[in-house]
Amino acid sequence: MKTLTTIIAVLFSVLTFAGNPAYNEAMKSALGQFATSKSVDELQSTANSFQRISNLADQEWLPQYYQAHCYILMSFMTQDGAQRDAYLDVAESAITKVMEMQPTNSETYALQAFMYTGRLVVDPMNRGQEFSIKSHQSLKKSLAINPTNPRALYLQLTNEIGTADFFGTDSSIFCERISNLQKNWDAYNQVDGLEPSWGKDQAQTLKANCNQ
Amino acid sequence: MKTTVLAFILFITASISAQTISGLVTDKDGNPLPGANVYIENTFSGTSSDADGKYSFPFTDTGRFVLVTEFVGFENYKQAISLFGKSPNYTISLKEKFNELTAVIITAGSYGTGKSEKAIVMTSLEMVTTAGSLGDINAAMRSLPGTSNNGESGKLFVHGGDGRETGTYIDGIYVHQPYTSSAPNMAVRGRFNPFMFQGTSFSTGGYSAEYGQALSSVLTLNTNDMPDEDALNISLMTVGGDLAGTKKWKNGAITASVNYINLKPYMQITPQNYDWNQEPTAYGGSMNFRQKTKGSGMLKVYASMDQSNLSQFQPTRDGTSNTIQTDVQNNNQFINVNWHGSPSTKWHTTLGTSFTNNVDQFTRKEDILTQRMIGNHIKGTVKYHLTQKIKLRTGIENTFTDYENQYARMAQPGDSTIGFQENLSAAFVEAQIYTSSKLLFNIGFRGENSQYLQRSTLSPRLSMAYKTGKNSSLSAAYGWFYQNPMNEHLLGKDYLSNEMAQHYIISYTKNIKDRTFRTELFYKGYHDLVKYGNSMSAPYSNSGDGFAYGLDVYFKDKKTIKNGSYWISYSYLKAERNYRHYPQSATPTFTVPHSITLVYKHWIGDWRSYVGGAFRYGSARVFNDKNSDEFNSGKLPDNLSLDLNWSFLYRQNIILYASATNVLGFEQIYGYTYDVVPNSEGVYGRTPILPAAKSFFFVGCFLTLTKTGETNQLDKINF
Repeated sequence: MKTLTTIIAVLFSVLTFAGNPAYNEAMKSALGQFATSKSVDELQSTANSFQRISNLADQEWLPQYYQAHCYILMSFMTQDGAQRDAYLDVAESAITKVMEMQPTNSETYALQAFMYTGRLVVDPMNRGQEFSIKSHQSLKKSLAINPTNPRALYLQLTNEIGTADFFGTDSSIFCERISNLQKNWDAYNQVDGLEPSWGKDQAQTLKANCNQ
Repeated sequence: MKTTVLAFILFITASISAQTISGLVTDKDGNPLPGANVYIENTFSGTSSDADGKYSFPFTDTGRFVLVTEFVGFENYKQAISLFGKSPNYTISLKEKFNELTAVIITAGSYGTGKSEKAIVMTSLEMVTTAGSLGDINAAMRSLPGTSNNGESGKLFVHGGDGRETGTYIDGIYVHQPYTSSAPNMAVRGRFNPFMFQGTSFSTGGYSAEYGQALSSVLTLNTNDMPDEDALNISLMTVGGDLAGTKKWKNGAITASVNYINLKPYMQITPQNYDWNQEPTAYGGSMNFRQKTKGSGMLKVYASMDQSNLSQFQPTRDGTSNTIQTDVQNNNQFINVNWHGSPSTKWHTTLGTSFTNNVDQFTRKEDILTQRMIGNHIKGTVKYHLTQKIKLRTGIENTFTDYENQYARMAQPGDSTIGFQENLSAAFVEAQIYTSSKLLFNIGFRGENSQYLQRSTLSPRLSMAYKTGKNSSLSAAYGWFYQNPMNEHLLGKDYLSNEMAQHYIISYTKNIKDRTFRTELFYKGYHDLVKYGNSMSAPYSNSGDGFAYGLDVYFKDKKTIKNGSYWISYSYLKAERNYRHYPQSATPTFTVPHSITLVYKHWIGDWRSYVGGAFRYGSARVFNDKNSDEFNSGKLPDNLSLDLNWSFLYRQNIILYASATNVLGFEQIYGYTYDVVPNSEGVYGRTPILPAAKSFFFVGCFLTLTKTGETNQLDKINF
């Protein structure tokens, strides 16, 4: 069931869509599609669904947020560096629009940090310094707004563990933070309806050099 | 369970007489396009095309609608449709969107580097990790084809041109003194740190009408935008140290740095080819200011002050083995101010100016020669996007040069001073026209007027590119290039005229993923070169001429070897000139007929190390043997070098760097200086021109302290 068949009058597009049943239905359907997307093709199709919603509901940040998230994930599943950057270009322009709508949203800064990490891994040797700083700064902004944003905490841990592994330093110092995040995920993850709530599964797989 | 729900929903939708809209999305040649977004305008209804380009989605309402198809890289397609219960089928053929980012680009003569260029050849990090470059932009550029290694100079020699024929521009503004000063026949270095720039374009010819006063090549350096964060950078090197601090605020940033170089300790423990009275020392400071202005504009200011000293014993050239103390002192102040902004999306303007004050003083025993230069360049450009495919660009500029040579003798009163002032005004217009994403033309004209020489010139510049395949293109360039004779020649000789070169270039490029192949064929004609006369009545004239032609080949591969990348450059060059003191047309001494550079870099993850090597070969150059009747008939040995470097990331913010040039100890001779008078047997004695040392070893430690770094030390420093 990929599509919904509800017409929204043009008139509605000037109003806010949050709470609009058709918008909610469309978002729920697209989020359902997102949950089962495993490949680049499936994610492309999901991103298109969010694109269709944001074409109409262009004052809503969530469709663009999820669209950007799809493209970031697509970049991580792709080998060719130029193609990865092309996906991240789409993600970056969507994130820029979301930031204009939501300048103080912890989630958009966390997603921006994820996008910068995507840029970094395309060419770690040459981009390492620039994008590790950028990713770090976005996470700092995200956590300044919401210190218990679990996605920001998760991305921060992956960045730090990655750095520690790279420099061969002991990553067991992260064990406590990992287990705290895993234990408190549900408490931290107080979100409404359609708002971003992803990351729990990924956080469960976070491992450092812990004795267990 | 899921299927029953699905069946139920299908049943419901069918019962309210849903139509199914289906079909195929293809490109203009009929190839299916998977992943296209197909939907009914102003509704949430739609789908994506599948792997075969097919799409299908149900739609309940009836009436007139618009079917929209979107796909990245293609024009949106809209079709009015009527739905009255039947299930229609539409085959949609999308037209490729014109996109400058993927359209063909002119590659003839141009090598872009850094992230601001599409044809990336080298990033600033790649420049400094290229073995043998020792952090000098010009040295890094010499590993690209079309250049040759002239160890006695250190400047950029391009396509048979001499080092002074390469112009350096920072953010479009002319740099009067891009090189450091050195003793005669000792290599100079570029004044600027590669990390100041986010993009570097190096042209081997046929460049844009925007640039003048360069017969062979332009090196255009684009400075960084905003720094990422507050930082303190400390460099400790075997030859000195450097300290730089960056403070950032909302829409601006400032970086201030000081540096001190002293080669004395290093030169005293390693064997040197020359005797030094005082080894080279230099100190200086610089300031870099950034401020964002309205829209996407930015103001950039760079200012630097440097002083350097050296004192060397040079041969007296009088048939004895005596030496004479030669002191070189340089004082340089430089300011570059640049603003760019876009008043609207169709307009882009730049305004900039540079100011240079440079004083070189050469003291040879009792003789003191002081060369003073004050330079200013001011320039404004406007770019207008007429359509998506046509861009127009125009600009005006004025270059002022006040140059003076003062000669004095110690303990003698008075001096003789000679100088000139030049105001060179210029204007250019340029049109960039895409007839399609496959074919591009660039047509430009440049007019210049020299106040001192009382001459005006008009130079046409033409270039074009054609996409021959998905990843390959053919490009050609043609142009006229004028440059004033060198400052020393202009002194008191306002009757001279501009020197001129004509370029013809054809190049072919093929890019497949991380492999690049490039080959370039060129011919260059030189006209109106300065020639020394033999009578007092006409000492100098513009009757010299010459030519150069050759072939460049470049191959870069970042793919074949995991964690490794390499490139190979080969250049063939044939050149002759009849200019200056040449009695007839002859190969100039700086011409290297065959140049090969092989650069390899490898990332060793376990060692957190980036190691690299560069092998350079330059075939035998000619030199003028004063004991032979034939002009420029002597042959130097081939020039070989193997350079190695190693960068080690000790911590995220600490890099250790070591580098060695000519590790195999090849004999390098760049030419000979002959005695002024013959010895008793009537033979002129000679001294070889050698590098400062056979090999150069360098070790450095670079430390960055930031608030976000692991070691949170910046807070401890009251910055």
